[in-house]
Amino acid sequence: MRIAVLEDDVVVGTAMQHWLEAAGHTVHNFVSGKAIVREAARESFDLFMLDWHVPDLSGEEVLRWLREKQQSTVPVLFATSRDSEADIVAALHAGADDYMVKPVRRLELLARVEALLRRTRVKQSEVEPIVIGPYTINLVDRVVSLDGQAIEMTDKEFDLTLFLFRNIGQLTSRGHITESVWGRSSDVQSRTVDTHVSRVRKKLELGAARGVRLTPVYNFGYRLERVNVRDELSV
Amino acid sequence: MLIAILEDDAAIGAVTKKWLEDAKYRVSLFDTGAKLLRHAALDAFDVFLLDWVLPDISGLEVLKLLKAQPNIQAPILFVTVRDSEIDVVRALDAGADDYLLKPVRRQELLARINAVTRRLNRAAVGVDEEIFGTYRFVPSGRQVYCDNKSLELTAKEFELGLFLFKNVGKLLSRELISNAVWGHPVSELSRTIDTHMSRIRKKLEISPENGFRLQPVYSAGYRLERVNEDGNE
Repeated sequence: MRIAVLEDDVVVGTAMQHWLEAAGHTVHNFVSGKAIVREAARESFDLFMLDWHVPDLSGEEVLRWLREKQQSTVPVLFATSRDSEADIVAALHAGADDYMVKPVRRLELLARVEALLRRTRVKQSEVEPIVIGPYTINLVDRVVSLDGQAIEMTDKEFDLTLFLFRNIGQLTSRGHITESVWGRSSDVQSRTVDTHVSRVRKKLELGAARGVRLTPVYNFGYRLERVNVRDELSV
Repeated sequence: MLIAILEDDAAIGAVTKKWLEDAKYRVSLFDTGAKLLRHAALDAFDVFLLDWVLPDISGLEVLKLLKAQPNIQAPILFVTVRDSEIDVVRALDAGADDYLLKPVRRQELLARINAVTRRLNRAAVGVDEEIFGTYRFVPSGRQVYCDNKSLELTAKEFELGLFLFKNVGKLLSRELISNAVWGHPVSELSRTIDTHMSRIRKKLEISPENGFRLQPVYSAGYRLERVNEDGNE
């Protein structure tokens, strides 16, 4: 999963990055509130980990910006040395999903991150098929079918389809797509992403008629969304 | 919301129950895992609070048995004195949603229950868009479009608009409208509903040109009607 970490203590930040990356996540570190806000305005993440005391904007302000300004529902985990009950309550009320008091223990952090991803449905089963509208994604055989008919796809097209359906309803940035489908170190161009997206859209016949639509979001990326068309209206 | 507490210490159980009831939750208190499991199959609990160390089966066993039942989806929080990292990890890995150490603090407990249940409600929202002819409602962002033109609505107006469109063609009584949108009956004499209706008609530009007509029905309520292109119903 793609995790944004806000931590101004470089030693702590690096340790957390190692822990999370060893558990299979990709980590983007930020040392100031403004830096993480700037990046989060144009890139999406699966989870945010926020410290409270950081230069310029505080972790709490970043959280409020995410929830109120960005209307984001992305899971947020606070990790801070502030341990008063009032602070914990304030952060949770402002929309944080979990709150850990520093020093954070490695295995507990990883377990809380997993619990949070599981609870927010970002992390889903690796074997259960995903069924949305007329689409079924079989993870074991890596086959997507539409109304029961299997659709021919390349490996990358399948990975892209899976990523988009797992994130249905969420804005996903090009960087997030690239990292999840091609890997972090790849130098895939954004045009390649767009080409794959357009092929997937065509093959899956995505559109209001199928109840699932893929919307490009200017300067950001894409959003796969469920659509209800009230048929009884089109008399 | 109905919360199940598993706690064998009667004093702690009573205090926790009181806190939750003061916060308007309904609470069932159990002092053994077996009792809780017997009720879990029948009562639809919304949240479970589990202690770890108990006279019969442990809280961890209870957690695993609850998780093994596919019809039980409610979040599970541990509240225990066991503070070793390995215990926290075992509980979370087995499917617990949060883990709190005793003595638990009242406001923190309430805030954590709230955080866990808020998540579930959010995840349950399925449809991202509702399309009615030329109108498109996006509930997640509270946006409405008519012919792809964005229209500005307040939160209440949005709810009212979506409610009307979802019930197009039906005669909606004032009572039904006020309960659905305001969550409580609005007094007969109150102008609130009429004021909102007139604002919504204006802001959403509800007119036969856009395919809809909003009809007040004398002494009964309102009806949103679909209009064909030639102007007939």
